[in-house]
Amino acid sequence: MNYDNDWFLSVLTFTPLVGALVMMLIPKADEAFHKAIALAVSGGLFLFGTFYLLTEFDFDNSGEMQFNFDTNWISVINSRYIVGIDGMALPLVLLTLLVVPLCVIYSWNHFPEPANPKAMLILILILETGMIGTFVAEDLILFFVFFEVVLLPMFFMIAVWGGPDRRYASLKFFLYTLFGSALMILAFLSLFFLAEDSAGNSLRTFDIQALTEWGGANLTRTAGLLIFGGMFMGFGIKVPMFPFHTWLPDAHTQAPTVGSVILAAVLLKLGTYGFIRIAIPILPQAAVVWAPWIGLLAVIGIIYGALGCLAQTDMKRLIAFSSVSHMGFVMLGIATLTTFGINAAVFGMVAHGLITGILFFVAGSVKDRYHTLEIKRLGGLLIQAPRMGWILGFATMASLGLPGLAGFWGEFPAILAAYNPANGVSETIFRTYMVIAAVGTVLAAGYLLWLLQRTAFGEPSEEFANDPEIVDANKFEYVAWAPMLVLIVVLGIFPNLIFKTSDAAVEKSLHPCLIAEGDDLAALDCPAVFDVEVAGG
Amino acid sequence: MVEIIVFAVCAAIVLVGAVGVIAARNPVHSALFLIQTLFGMAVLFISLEAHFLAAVQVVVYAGAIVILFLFVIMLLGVDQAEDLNIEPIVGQRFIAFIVGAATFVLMVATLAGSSDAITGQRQATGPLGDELTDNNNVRELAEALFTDYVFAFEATAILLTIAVVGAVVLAKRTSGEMLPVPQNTLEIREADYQARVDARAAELEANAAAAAEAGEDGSAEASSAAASDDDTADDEMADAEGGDA
Amino acid sequence: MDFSAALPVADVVAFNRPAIDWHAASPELILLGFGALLTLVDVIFLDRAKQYTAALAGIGLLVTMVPILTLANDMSETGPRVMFDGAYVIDEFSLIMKAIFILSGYVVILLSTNYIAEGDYWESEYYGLMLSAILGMVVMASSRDLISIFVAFELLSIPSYMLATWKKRSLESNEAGLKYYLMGVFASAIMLYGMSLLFGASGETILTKVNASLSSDPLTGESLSSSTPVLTLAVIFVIVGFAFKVSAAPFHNWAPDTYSGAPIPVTAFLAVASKIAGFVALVQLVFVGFYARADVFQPLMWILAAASMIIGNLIALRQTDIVRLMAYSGVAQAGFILAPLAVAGDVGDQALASIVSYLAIYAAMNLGAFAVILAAARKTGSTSIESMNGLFSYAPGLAVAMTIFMFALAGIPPLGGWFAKFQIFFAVVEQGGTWAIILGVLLAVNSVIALYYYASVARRIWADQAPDGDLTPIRIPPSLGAALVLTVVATLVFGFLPGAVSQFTDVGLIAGG
Repeated sequence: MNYDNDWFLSVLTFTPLVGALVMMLIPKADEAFHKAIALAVSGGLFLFGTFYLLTEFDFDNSGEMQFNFDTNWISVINSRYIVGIDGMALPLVLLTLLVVPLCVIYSWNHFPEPANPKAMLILILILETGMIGTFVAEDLILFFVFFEVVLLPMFFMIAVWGGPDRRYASLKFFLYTLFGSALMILAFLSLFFLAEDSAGNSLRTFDIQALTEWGGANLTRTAGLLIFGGMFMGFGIKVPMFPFHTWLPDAHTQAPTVGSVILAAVLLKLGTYGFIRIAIPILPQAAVVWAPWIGLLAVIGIIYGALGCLAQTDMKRLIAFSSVSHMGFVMLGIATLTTFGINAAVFGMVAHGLITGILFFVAGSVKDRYHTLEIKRLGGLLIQAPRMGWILGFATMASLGLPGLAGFWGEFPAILAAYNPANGVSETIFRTYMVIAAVGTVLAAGYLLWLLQRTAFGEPSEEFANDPEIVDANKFEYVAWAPMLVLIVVLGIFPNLIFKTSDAAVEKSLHPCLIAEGDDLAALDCPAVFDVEVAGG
Repeated sequence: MVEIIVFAVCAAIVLVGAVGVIAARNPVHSALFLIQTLFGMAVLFISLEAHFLAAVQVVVYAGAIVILFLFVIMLLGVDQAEDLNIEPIVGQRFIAFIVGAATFVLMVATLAGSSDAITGQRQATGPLGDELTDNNNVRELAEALFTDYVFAFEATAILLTIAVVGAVVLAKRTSGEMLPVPQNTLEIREADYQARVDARAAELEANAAAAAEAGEDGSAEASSAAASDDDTADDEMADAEGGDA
Repeated sequence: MDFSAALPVADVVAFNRPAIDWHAASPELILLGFGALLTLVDVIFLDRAKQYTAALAGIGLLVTMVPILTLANDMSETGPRVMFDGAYVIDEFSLIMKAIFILSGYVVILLSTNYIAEGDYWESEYYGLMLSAILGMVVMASSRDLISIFVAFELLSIPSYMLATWKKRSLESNEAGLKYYLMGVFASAIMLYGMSLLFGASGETILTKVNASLSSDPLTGESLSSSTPVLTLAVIFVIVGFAFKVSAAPFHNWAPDTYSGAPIPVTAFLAVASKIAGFVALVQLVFVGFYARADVFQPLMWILAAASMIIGNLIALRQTDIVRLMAYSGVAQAGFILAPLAVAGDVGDQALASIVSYLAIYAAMNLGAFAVILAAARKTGSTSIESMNGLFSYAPGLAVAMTIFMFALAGIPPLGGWFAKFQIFFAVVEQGGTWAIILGVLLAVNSVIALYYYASVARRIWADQAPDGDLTPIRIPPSLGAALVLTVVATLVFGFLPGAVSQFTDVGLIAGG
């Protein structure tokens, strides 16, 4: 199909960057102007981008790459500037478009120390470019560049506006991610050199679509496993998967509210998106071998994250650990390698982005008022700031997977998908994982209700009882939170809004041998690695 | 046969000279040993019928360069033994010895392990050019220098000019005081050095005392005096630097 | 009168004047001319000349770019120009390297202008020596025989020794110069010994011919499947000599002391131009002279690269002085640049392209970092890392620039350094052997270690308080500002449009092909 709107994704990606450049040229003193520009750019981009995407995107063909643009970029290494969007990337791009202006609005009147709105807003806009770019990049090198672009602004956001331990946290965040991406780039390069078509001609391309079509056909088993391992390090650290998750609680705890929100809502998704866009489509055979291990780390993450939550004394740190647990569900869905599981993962990403985003927003607002997030010193939020207390309650309900809210559709189908993983992936193992993951949901209910009970219910503690600073949510907070709250409900009621969009794309991204059944499977003449394993067999 | 004898004699002269340069405690003696080495080399060149090289060796190296060395040594008045017993960096000499020995063994082994002719082929079987005609050694060299290697030759000319400019700039006295060195570096180095100088002085004194007991007072007194001289000189220097800083 | 009777004219053999391509030699001649002019101006006008010397040197370098551009323009028609039987070659590689030398020399002159004028230094001699060192580098880029390489090496080293000690009344600077000199002479001696062995084995000094003789046994004429001991020793010695120059571990000890003692612009010069010159020599030797002996140079380069990366990075972690930090990071960067040489025997084209790209990008980002250090030192008067604290609060422009350079050096996209590192990875992975992959993983791990100290500097700039809360802004003189703008723009362009660089750096050099 030929689209004449190939300019759209580039505009979407680079508008925030242009906005940031304009802001750099304006003197720092003019704060209001800076805020206005940042809001105009991100908000305008959200309105325009959403409208354009929803009207122009061909939902009947959501499996196809749309708004494609393909041009020469670095010719010596045959890396091209290719962007495109399909049903898998669309929800994530929309999520990004939404979250950024909300962050700008939220921080409108209270920039954390040392203020300097100009610098912070510039960083947020650069982040937006990096995030959108990663979701629409269709070339490995381009993807890598955008994947890394988000590092610097986030590093500075934590290092400059963060909490008391910000030096340590920011560096840890940076080093972990960079370590992963260094191995990832090695993996990408190996793909470039090793990919050959059936006639034995070297492909020498970084084009994700071309490589997906190739699907690791001629790779030796070891090479495939090693390359997948490299990507696994890159994406898995970003997700973060157990045992690489340790940067996350530190980064979240120290980051300013807005940084936490963006980190939780979008940045973590870059890792999972990498799995479903790059690692699994390009190397399905290696994915089958890796799947049980990924699943194992995912369920360990679920349980470990949940137990970690129970041990936390800091509200933000608790939410961070709950992120580890929730991303475990997403990864479990991905590890099944089925259409169902990965659709659940896409939904889980969006739902987690919204829910954890709002949780961090509320945590930030609590911190603004109480100047502490220590759970045992808090309490009685419902009395002192009732609306905020209810919002917190609502978000925890969504987070623990209450049916009817978005969180449910991220967790439940992922668990269900584990019952019946893809061809070649052991059912026995995954059914075990399913049971463990189900235990995880119970734990999640435990720690979230515990959090709610200790912070929102009860009487306010003495030290804060008559504190005049503790007031209910203000209008900026309402504006920033409302869209997310609404979406949580809407997606909870109409999950098909996302499932229908992503389904075709997910199906297209998976190797047919992974998902075919019965006669279809026999007709495909699949390699031995895809042989069906039945439970108990 | 004659060649072998000439080679053996000259090689001995060269090696003795080379060792002497390093081993002699008096810089003047070192310079003289250097001349010995260079002369030995010149004779070796002659035995290889490289007459021009031999002449250059004598005229330029022995005649000019070493004489310059001697001038400098005499003018600066450092024509006396230095106390080499203090190692500026602990363990330096030991490591240097190991590395040097290893390199030496490596080279000997490599050369010994090669095929019969050390570098393979291309041993000179006769002089460069023909001695009997006008087309001789010097002319051949000259032609090489001014044709194939003219670029390197001209570049060398520039190089020498630069060296002269640099030497003048470096040698020119500047007015004013020495710039201060960052205090902590200076203190560390000074303390470190001073400690070792003190230790050495104490050691020498102890030796002297022991020697005196043994009844050989003459030489012992001299060495302890030298040690205490060093000591005071260092103190003065340290004072001066400290004052500037 | 007839003098022919007095002179034995008849006996003189006809002198075959070597053909000289004046166009090809014009960059060198122009540089030389300006060097001489500087000296002359100084002699005639004495102190009145001082204010013009920097400008004159800068103009000299820019004028030198003209013949380089015309030569590059002619290249497609004429092909490489060869002089002196192959000892002196003008090809794409040499032109791009000459351009890098001259442009980085120009930036160093910009850095020096105020520093030298405001300090207590000899001025015109400074620029004269700087030009002659650059002349040595320009010669180096074209030298394709052992003797020219050696002379060019000395031509660029000897002025550098003197420049390092230019702060005449500082003990540290004296130490810097002396240390550099002693180590440099030591390196020359080793290299010369290796070269004499090579000459003994091959009877040739022209690199292409050396390569031909290295590939076959000198006695039997059969082609050599593996090296002989003498050839191995010769190759190792020559390479070790240059390893000193590029401060590759374990031959890096001089670098930190020399860098921190020398005047900052000179340090920038040593860390960038002088080091690149060492790499140019190495590249020419490896790709033209020793290419047949990949079994010798590849393992050696592997060891040098791995040792440099690891040692440089680990020691850099503990530095408290930013110049010393740059010195050790330079050691680590040298390891990165050496890495493609460890696979050069198999993937020559890509290895060469990656090194040339790296050198171009390295020049921009490193010079820029030194420019910021210099600018910051104008206020703080110190080069300790702490002096960078809170730079953002009083000099945001400098802070942003330094951040760009630090993360470019660390190789974070989309800043220039990423493409340099990427190309190295590309070459190493293309070779694909076990050792190459191990080297690739080492490269990856070391990028992360390096990030730690680069990011620490950036963090100090942004997140820490300025010492004593002193927020007076820094006045940046125009020449320094120009240097900053040039380097920032170059670093960003290299990062966003790597295609633009790689077009120039995709050059050929390999012996016989």
